[in-house]
Amino acid sequence: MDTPDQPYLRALLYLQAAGHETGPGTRVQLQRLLTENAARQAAKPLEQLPDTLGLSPPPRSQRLPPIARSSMGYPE
Amino acid sequence: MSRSACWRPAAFRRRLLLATLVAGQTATGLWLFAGTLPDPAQGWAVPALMTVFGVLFAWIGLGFWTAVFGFVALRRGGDPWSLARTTPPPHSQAGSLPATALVMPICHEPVQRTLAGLRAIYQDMQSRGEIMDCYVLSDSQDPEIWLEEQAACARLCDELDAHGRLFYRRRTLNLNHKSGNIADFLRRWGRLYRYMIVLDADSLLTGDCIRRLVHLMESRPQAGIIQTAPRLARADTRFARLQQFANRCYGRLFAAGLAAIQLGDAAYWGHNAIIRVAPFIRHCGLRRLRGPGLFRGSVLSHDFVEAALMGRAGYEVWLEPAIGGSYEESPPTLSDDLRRDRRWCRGNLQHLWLLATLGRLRFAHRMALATGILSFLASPLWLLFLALSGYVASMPLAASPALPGILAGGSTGSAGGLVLIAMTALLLFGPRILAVVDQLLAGRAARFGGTVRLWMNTLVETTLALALAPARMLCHSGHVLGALMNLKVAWQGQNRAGHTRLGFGLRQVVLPLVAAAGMLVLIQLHAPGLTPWALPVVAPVLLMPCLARWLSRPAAPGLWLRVPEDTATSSLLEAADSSLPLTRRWRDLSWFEQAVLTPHQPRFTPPRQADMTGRKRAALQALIDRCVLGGAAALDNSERGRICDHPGALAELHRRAWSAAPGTPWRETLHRLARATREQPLCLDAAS
Repeated sequence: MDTPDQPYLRALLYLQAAGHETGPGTRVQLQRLLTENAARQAAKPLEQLPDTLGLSPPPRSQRLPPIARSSMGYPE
Repeated sequence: MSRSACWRPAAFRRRLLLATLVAGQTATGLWLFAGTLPDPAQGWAVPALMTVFGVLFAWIGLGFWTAVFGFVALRRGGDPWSLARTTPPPHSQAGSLPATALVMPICHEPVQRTLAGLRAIYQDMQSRGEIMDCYVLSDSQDPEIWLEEQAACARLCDELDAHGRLFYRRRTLNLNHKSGNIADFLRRWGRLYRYMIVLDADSLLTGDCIRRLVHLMESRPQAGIIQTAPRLARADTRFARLQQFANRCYGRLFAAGLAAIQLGDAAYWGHNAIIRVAPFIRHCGLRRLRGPGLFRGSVLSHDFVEAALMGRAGYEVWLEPAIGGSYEESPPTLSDDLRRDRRWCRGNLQHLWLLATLGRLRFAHRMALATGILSFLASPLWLLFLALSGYVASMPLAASPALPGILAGGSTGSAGGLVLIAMTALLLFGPRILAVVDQLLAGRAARFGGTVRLWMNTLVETTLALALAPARMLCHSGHVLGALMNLKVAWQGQNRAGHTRLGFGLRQVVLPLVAAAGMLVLIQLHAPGLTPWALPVVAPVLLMPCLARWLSRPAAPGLWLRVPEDTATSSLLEAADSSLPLTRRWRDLSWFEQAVLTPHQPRFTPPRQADMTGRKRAALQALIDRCVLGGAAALDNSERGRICDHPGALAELHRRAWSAAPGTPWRETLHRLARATREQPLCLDAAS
């Protein structure tokens, strides 16, 4: 991947950054989605992409930890 | 007499003996010193010199006799009054400990090293079937640090399966520094716990040590605080190993002596200790000082004061050096050591105000506060002593000087001066000799590489300590002066990784260097006969930059000043050293850029309306707009922190960064991200 300038490559980069599996199946699915619904996808935020593609949540080891507001996990 | 009070007569007898010994030795020293001086009638200088000498001689005598007490206690097989000796080891089943929290306040510490230590402690407890709640209490303000802290803590929770057990709390308002951070924890969660064990960022405690501490607290309801005597460990630089050797070789003697004298009126050192939470909350709250200058604001050296307040409330504070498995680290360089001393100096001098204003403190705790103050005032007093003795030596009838501050000859003849020199040497070096003899008698020489090596290393350590002493004296004098002038001290994380900061080091030594050089020139111009007298003090200061630089270099473990841990390291230390990095960061991206670009679920949560309206929203919006246009560099640390602290603002910046137009800074950041994910999806970045 050389540049995130093209919508497809940027979307792919987004999925990789989120820790999703981006094998051939996902790539084809993504390509099709962006080709068929280019205008509608361009208007949607990238964070909805995994849901649109029906991707399962990435494994915990692949995910970056969330940013919490000041603190994490208050005790009961 | 109840068991709770029966140690007090023993403590009284021991303290009386100590006071008698120090007073007797000081009186003898004063008599001998007076014999080396010209007629006191000649002016003010001689009485002033005698006074300063008396204070300093008593001060070094206190250290010597403490070591003697420790030697006797250790040779008798330990102190019969020690809690660890009078309380049998725990037989309770694993997992049966009362509610106890491990509390680690941090502020701009090296994240990986700090949390690797916490991981090692947690795993060591887990391996013994004990699980405790751990709190990482951060006062870090730099988002590049606290974003990494959060990421590492989240990873630690996953790795240890410690969700609901390991908590991270960051204060956005750092009121009252470390004591305020602990107070904040106690206000929120203190009622959930019977005890808390306070850790420093570099603290390591074994599961056995923690279990023993809790057991001692359970069996001694009068105990408010039990302090362990941490061993220095994980030293990488020559300077740190020098400190580590001194701690491991002589520390046991001093700790045993201190514990024997203080008994249940000991001091709290701020970490590696267990605290009974309820009385601590009730009696140990620290108010901000309301005096003039230095004596206004938050209490910096809070630990001694908290021990004194605990004692005032009727609780005991014990130092228990016999409990093993408690470790901490030394500052890696002389520069870092002096920087820490500067903060301690200011904090200890604040105790002058507390001594004057806090009522009903126990005498032993008053003495502990006073010795803390004197530990820094001793430096300017030594400087004053040298100046006065130089002045007196230049008097017409004075004898020629033998050593800095001590004149040979005088009315009692040179013999008196020589006896005084011998006495001073005994007081200064006696504790080291006693400590080595104790190690030999205890059959521990092999742990230091054998008898010959132990003596040789003691010689090396003593020589280097002597070489550093004048420089420390000048720096500490500067610290005292700075504190009395109320110059502010920054409260920053300590350099624990051994990175030498040459710039800071040079800035720090300029003043002592100029002072020493100026002193030498003045002496040479006005009293050339005193130049040889001054050289033992001035020369080491002039050589300090080279010595400090050399000492900051890495040392080969096991070769340079060997300590027992070099041959028989504990599994806890091994685990802390061998831990893998906890955080994952994309190469070439800052933590802020990663926070902005990272996709994760909480962004879908709509921000609360209250957060998204009014002036706060407008200010955040301005920051976001600026950041979108100018990239991460367009904001300062505080502004980046404000965005990261606000999920709504971060989510908006996230969306706009991902849709940044070509040629903009965020598009360039996306290019870097693309390169990073192509080379390595996520790098484990230990040095980040």
